[in-house]
Amino acid sequence: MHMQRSYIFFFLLSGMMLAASCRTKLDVQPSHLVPEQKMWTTKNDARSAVFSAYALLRSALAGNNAWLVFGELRAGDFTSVSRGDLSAVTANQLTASFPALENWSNWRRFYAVIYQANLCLEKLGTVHENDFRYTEEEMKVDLAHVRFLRSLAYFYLVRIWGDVPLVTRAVSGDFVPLERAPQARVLDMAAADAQAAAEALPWKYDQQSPELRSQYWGQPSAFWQGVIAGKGSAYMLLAHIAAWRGDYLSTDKYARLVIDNRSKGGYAMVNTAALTGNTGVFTGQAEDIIFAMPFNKNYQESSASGHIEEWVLAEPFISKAQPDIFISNDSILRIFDEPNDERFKLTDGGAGAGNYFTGFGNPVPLFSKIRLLSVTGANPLRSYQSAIVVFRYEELLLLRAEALLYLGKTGESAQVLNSVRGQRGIGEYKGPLTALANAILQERRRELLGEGWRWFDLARFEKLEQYSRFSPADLGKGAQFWPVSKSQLSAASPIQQNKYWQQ
Amino acid sequence: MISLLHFHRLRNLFLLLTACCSAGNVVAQSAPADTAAGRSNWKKPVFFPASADSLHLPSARELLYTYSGQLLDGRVPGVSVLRASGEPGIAPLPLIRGLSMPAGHVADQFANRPLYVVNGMPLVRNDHPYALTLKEHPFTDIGSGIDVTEMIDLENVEEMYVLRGPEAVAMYGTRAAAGAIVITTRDPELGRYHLGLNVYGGVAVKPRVKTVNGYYQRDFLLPFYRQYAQPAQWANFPAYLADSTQQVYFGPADWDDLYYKNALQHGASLNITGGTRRANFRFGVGEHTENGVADNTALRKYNVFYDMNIIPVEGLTINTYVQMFTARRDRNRSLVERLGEMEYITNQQAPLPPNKAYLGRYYELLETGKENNFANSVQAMVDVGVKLARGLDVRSQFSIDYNDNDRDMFVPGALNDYNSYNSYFTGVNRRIRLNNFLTYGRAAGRLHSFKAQLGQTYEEDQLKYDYIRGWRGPSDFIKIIQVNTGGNQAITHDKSLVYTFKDFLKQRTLSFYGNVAYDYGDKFHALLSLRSDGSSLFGNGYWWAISPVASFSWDVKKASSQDRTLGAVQLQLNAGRTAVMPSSDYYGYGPYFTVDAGWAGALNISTYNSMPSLNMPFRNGYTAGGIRWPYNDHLDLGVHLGLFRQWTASLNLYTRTGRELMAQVPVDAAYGFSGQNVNGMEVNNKGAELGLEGKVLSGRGLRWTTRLNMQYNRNKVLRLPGNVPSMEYGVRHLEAGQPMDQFWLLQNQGIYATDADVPGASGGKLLTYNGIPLRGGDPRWEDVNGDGTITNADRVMKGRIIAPLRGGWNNTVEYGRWSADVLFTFAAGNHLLNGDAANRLDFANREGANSLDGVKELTFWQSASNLEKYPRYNPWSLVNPYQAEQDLFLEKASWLKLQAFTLRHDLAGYGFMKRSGLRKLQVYATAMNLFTLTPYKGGDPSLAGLTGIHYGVPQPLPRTFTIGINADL
Repeated sequence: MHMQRSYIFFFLLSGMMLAASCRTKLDVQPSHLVPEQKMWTTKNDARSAVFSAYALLRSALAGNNAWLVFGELRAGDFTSVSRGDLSAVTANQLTASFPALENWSNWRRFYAVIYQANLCLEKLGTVHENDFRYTEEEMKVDLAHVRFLRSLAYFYLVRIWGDVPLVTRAVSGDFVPLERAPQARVLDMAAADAQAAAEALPWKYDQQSPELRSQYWGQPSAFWQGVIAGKGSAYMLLAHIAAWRGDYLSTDKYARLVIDNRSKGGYAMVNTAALTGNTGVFTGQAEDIIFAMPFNKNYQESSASGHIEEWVLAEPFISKAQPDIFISNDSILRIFDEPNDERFKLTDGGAGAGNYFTGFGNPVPLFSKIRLLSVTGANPLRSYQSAIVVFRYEELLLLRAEALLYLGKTGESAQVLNSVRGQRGIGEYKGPLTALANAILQERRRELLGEGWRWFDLARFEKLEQYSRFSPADLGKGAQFWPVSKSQLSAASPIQQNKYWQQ
Repeated sequence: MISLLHFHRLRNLFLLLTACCSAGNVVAQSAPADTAAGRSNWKKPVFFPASADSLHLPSARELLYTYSGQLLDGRVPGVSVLRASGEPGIAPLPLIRGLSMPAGHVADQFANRPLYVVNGMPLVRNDHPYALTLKEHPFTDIGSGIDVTEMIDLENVEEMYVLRGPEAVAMYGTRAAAGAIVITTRDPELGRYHLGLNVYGGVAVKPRVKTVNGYYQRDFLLPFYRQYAQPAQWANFPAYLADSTQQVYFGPADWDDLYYKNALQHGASLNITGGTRRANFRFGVGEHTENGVADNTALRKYNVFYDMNIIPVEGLTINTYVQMFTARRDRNRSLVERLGEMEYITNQQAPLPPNKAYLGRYYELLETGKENNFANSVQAMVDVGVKLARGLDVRSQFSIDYNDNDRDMFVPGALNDYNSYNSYFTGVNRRIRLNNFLTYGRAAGRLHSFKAQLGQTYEEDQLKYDYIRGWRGPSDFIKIIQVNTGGNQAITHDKSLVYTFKDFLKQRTLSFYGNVAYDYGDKFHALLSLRSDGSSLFGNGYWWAISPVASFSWDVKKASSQDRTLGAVQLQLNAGRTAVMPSSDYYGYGPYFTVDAGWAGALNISTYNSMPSLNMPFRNGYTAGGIRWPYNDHLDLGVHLGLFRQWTASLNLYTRTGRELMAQVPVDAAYGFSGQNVNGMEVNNKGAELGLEGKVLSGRGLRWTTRLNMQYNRNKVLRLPGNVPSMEYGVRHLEAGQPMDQFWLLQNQGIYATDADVPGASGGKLLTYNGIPLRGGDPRWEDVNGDGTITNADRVMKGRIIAPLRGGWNNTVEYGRWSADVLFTFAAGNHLLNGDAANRLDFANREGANSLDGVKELTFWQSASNLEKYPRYNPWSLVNPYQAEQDLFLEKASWLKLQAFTLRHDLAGYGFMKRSGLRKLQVYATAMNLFTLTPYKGGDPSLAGLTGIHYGVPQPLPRTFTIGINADL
């Protein structure tokens, strides 16, 4: 009996101990996700959230090499070797049935950037209130970063899809389907964001700017150069937004602002060796970089996918028989139609010289301008670290030349164009000033080949019908833009397919 | 104290208890009979005896099954065993009463799995959705791939109960929402020590396959090229097929000599038992080796088992149980699984050759690689029972369940485009469980008797894993990763190519339960059960879920010797609402932040220029704050009949409706999320289960017992979240009112021979496929809605992935000392998409592709599907003419299989038996998977997973022949 009693006691005791703590027992904090109420409490939360917005934009551009598909492939300079989905893009058959095309037509990943940016705009203030170490100065710079990213994301969206939904708030849970907003309104908002960012961002992260006197996240200026936005990036974005809307007066204004302050930003043209070398421009941190998204292998950010190398390189660079896309010999000669070009020229023997191409004359020459492998040595791993260069100084100069041209200042325009041409060994432009527009477009084609500009350039110069299968009527119906993805159309959304792709 | 704090949630339960306690007086109860059944009560689901179908193991011990789930196939109605591959170690998925949730994502398998319970201890799984999220291609297990359900030695199993209705949750909590498989182990035998021995050995026979070489593939491709290819496509004609003088691809197709082999199977187990009523034990050890017939696969398991019961003083019983397991698995070496694990696609221009003479080097290299897959588990339990007063007992059970799950892998550079690969996965899972309950029984008069149980369970699970992977080691001799963490200098690997991942998860469950049983005159039985489960997975405050279950049974007629036609008649009714435990913590914590900033091909990149990132789960979907427990509503009706003295029949009708199920619904992409996780899906499973058992022949000579098990299941999506009519759910398309396991297909009606045949070619609007005009050589798909364009709106729901009708027919024939068992299993009404044919025909997008699509296994050189019968479309067409999702590839996949045949001879009674003192000696021979009858042409249709797409025949279920001996001393 005594034994039984002690057991009852034991049983009751253990039961009590358990029961007494049961509510707290169930309150287990998850260790692999951060519930909303734990977020936005410390300085590091702000950092993670802001750099997440950068990472998301990089992801949107890198996923399936989207930046290249949107900006480059549609323009037809590149040809697909055997991949059906890439052939469909180069032929502008954007509703063809391939999983990759469905993926590219989905704008979700750009809106992830926008959601994250909206969230930061709403919540960074909370961090400032919760953590005294997060100073107002830092907060303002961070807010400017996310405004810049939101603006840039919208700018991509408008260039790729035309009219798109405009979301300015981080909605929690109540995801009411949205209608498209007119491009003009979206661009107004993007320009306003870029303007606000330009005002709050420093030229450089060297503790000299009045906008940020402290060291940004404990890193020196060189660490940040080019890979996050500064004043220069924001003004350049403004210049581009203006150019897209045909407001070349503003383009000229903002472009000149950056060019005149190039020493503050630390911008300069680079020579051809730096452009085509594997330690130059495409590390994302060369002198001419105004904004680039890096994939530095030292931070374990190199990847097999998300780089042009994935598609254009083959033997002898990597163990792959043929690239996925290439520029044909004929096209190469059409693009590099001037002698002595350091990027690519024909030698007297008829062979090709210059790092832009390898194996000129082969049935499938390689486009080798960008070739930043993560590892060196024989049989390298197919992992790359070339940055996605969003803005660089040469491009800015060419944009300025374009603006000056459309503003009627042809002489000045030619002068700016020549400064870029001179850097590449082709000397001054000698053609008639009436053909200057063509010359600028052609120089952009050469200089920015493989950097995701060509399709947007053709659209801005209104040359799409010359270089694609589209008639002016097609373009009037929106053929220049991408179709909306099937999943978007089926998601109870008021959004209609773009008129051209409806048929 | 207890009630003050927490039992207020269980007020109802108390009312119930009080009601039962106040009725009647305590009458003299006979002391619990000391029977074997009485002693093992602690292991069993005692409160719901009638509704569970159980399988008594001794009759199946001669079968060389290594998994418990497989054994249920065709033996217990209501269980559909799905198995994607015949490879040793790939555990089958037993579905109980169909799908509980649509299976659109890989992680949905977790919601559809039954709970395994061993001696009352719910097993913690060794795979979970968390580690899966690391993988870009989560089709294989990141760890050893040894399922936790293999960690049970069937040799030690006495009985398996399948709990199919609401009683599963009532007994074992909300993890059992998809049913429970309750296993009880063999009890000790009293008396002098007894030895038991079971040894078997045999061979799995190498399958005979039709192999092909380059000629076959070339002759298959050329007609397409001749008819449709442009010069650019001719230029890409596969280089390996270009030259038919090349022995590599055009030599003898004898690769199967290296790939398939006859494989030994063996197992041995020994146990010893004995003791007195006050102290007894059973101790066992065992070994099982299952070698695969293909690709050098194998599973080896070793286990130790100990069961000890003592009664130190009358009224106190202590039962202990310990089981330890270790298993090794040699996994298949298929390219897809290897490349999927590495997330690095090697050059696929030249496939593996069909000629054995050229495969030697490949096999040598495979041997220089290293792959260790191992899993260990320990389950230990102490059960203490005290008799407090007459009729009142208290039991306290404490158990620890630990398992680990590891995989080490090294792929030599020479196999891998000269970049070696290492990975280590270590997963450790632990569950501590404390279960206390009081039982109270009293009888009032001869008619009434009551029994009540009140208890509480606390479970704490800890899951953790580490995963390290690195590329490009210094040489193929150094097979480990060593990184100098201090500096930038690499010891073996470049630091930038070594990635580490870890995760740790803690989960607690607290449950209170009460059961009240009432018997009236041994004719009418009623049982009410109520439990409340709290889970830490609901960090949003909706911790608790109540699950009430009621069960009634009525013996309308008891069996008696006078009955000629109708014997016993019993009716059974179970009803209840039971909560469903979510399979991960991604739902219950409300909106959360995570690292989710990668992209296809680089999913796990977590930083931007070394700065950490933390964002909303854009890819995995938004979760709002108000997620509640999903639940199932059950109604089961059963009739059990005794017929013609020799026959019994039982029929169960059930309906189970899952409500408020969590599902990811698509949201407008303008919010950046791929979807939102919400409650609100409703699915229903209805069905009937029939068991018919009887003696066809009985008497002195030949005795023949037959048992037919059949089940019919129909499922339907009743409601989709937000009441949308249809939605995409992973790989599945769901429509309200339609089954959840259907394909969504274009309907194929032939081919447009020329451009002019396409509707609208001669004027009007040209028929298009998603905006791309159809042309000659394109498929003639039915324009269901007649809008002049073929889109997803023209797809129809067709076919069934889960067979509506499944069952087994088991026969036992005995004659003298001989007996034989024959088991046929069958499935009817199910379909498969012939993905093997679709992939071969879609060569234009796959040949040499730098993705998993371009991978050709060695089994590519095995012809299975008859490709001649498909129309010859233009494979380069922009309309994806050979997409798998069209009814061209939909095939009937019913099957009938002779699954097992066993012949036994009992040697008892021979003279030497008496002299040796053996209690039992039996020799047996078993043959398995003898034949399969099916209209399906692409391989064995019983090997199919939840996707319903069948990709050929890489790892068959072999014919296996074994002999064994079973002795008791």
